[in-house]
Amino acid sequence: MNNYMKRLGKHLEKLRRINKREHHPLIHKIHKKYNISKEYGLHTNVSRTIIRESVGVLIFCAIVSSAGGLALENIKTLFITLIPLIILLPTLNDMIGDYGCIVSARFSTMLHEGEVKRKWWIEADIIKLFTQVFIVAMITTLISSTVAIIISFFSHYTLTPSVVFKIFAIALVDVAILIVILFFTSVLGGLYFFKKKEDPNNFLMPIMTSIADFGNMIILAVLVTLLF
Amino acid sequence: MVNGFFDKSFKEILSSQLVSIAGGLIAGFVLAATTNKLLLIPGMLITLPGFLDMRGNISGSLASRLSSGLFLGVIKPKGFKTKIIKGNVEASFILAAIISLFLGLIAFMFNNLVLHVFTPSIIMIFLIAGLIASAIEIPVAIFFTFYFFRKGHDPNNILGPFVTSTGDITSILSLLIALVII
Repeated sequence: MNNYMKRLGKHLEKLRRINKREHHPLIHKIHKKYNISKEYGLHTNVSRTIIRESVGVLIFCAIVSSAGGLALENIKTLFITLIPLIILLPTLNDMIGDYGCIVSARFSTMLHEGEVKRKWWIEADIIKLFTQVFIVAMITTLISSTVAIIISFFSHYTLTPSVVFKIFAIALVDVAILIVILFFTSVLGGLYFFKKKEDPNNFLMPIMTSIADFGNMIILAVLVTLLF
Repeated sequence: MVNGFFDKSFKEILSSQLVSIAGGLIAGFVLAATTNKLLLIPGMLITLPGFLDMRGNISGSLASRLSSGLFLGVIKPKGFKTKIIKGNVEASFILAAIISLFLGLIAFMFNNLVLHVFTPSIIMIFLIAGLIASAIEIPVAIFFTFYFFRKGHDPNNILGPFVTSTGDITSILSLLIALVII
């Protein structure tokens, strides 16, 4: 087995070393008509192409994140006194966005492979995907909340059992609600775009990260206001 | 059935997320330690999440584009000074400057219109911080994309959580540096 893997590795390395030509010159002439990216074309202005294709999505993401941030700014005086939640903020933002991307990427693959039938809610693979992501999300939330509380404790932040409980509750409820929202958005959105003969990956990723950013801050703001 | 949930993909998701939360917690710790400097600035909480995301979005896409180029063979694993890499670096810097400026403007407008506080310096804070973070994060993303590719790994599988984690830390440190400069 080891020898086989070594040989395979050598062959892959040989393949990688083969000098490939750049895109066919025709690409440069037909890219507009057939909507082909010409980033690696012959006469391409690489930076201009990248900027033109990315700036819109990045500005949209910045607006959505800022709209969510508005909710936190409203409870700023209360929020900045909750050190464990400040420590958790970047982690929660990253983590929820990542789970959204995992769910949408894997569901899109399932759609492309024809694994999703009409009654998707009783499909074993979809139930498995949801359960896996939900369990990992709960484990990582518990770990990150525990670490945030330990750091706060050693930073001389006054921790009572009630505060510790509320921090855990806020983090777990926030992540659980968002995982459910992201999962159903991903499935319903994926089915919709797939029906329209589009690749769900192209639409679901930005939608998921935007919902994750916006939703996380709104839900955090609501939970902090309710519990503290 | 229960055993079926804890398969290879479960372990892969869990391990990549553990890396991701480690970076996030370090960034959160720095943020908490500097609350009185950073979060007390009016409008900072509105644009901070967007600023943290921006680093991952720009450097993550950069790493992903370079990986595609490496796999397609249009970027060679041992040549940094090519037209495509220069173009990618240039674009990432310009995008970072545009988005940082935009975030600074959002914070400035919120302060001016809602809080009735005139804080033009917040625009410069975000712009300078965005450029400092890019100066650190872009070379890091390029270096590790090539490094992992040369080692025989697919950079797409590794650099996502890696770039978002390091991006959070460099973004907050850059904001602090920008604050000192301004």
